[in-house]
Amino acid sequence: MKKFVQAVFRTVPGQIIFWVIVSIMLPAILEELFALNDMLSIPLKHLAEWKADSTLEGRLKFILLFIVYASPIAVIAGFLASRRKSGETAVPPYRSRNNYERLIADVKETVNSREATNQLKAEKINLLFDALIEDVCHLFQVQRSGVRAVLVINNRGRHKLTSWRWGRACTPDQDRMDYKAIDKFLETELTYPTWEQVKSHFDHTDSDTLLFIRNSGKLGLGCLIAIENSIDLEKHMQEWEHIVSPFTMLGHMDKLVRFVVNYT
Amino acid sequence: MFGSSKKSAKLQLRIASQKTIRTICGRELVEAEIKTNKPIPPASHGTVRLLGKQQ
Repeated sequence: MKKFVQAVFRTVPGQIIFWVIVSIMLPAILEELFALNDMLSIPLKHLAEWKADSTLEGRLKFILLFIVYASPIAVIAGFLASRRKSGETAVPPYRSRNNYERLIADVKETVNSREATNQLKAEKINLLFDALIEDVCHLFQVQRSGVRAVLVINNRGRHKLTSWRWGRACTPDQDRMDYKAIDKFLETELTYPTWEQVKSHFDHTDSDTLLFIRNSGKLGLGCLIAIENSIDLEKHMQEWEHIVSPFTMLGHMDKLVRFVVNYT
Repeated sequence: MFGSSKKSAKLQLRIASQKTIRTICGRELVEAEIKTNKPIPPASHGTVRLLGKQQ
């Protein structure tokens, strides 16, 4: 049997003979399928002719008829639901238009250059963080006016940091809440923790979602992104990981950290 | 006992001073000096999703 199968499917003449037979036989079989009509009708005919006199028989007949009618409806509904589900999942993941590797390389090159002016260096850094905020807005569908960024830079020794804030205006109280949030994030000892439903922790905060990015190892540079609204973070977590990945390297660039502090 | 009380001391950032500055490219920034009550722990690569009220 094995040799026969090998002779048919693994040799050219065998395959030709097989496909010739299939191409002749298949239409012929399809043509003759109507002969099965009578046989296929038998169960339905019996069901239709069944005189269900007793209550039990009546219920049984109803169940059988229900199965006959409901089966194709269930199959069609299942098919449509699977189509809808696959349509929903087919939304392409968000991909940043910004080439961060390039932007960071530009920043690195400019900051390291003795010929570059401070203004040029500052513009390159602004470009980088503006790109990050732009991506946050596009990815999470939030307004730019609803986003605030806070940079923390570890440049003053073990117990001192320098911080910069820009974007959405805030009160001294909000400021304190931002730093309390940074406490929490630093204590997670992870490079890109997130915090949702923040308003249930800080009653009077103006941000409901906080994102934090820092370098691994000893803190060089961290960035808090405070977003006014709640966002569907779970849905976009993989895309967010993709965006923040290069930013977790920034704190390792000592010259960049020094320049970010000094360029004002 | 001593170890556990040391561990429970939470990291706290406190604003020491704050000023608004304008960069050479015209951006307005708020610069602050922050003091911490203990050294900042090093981090490893990864994430955690904090949700709602925290301890």
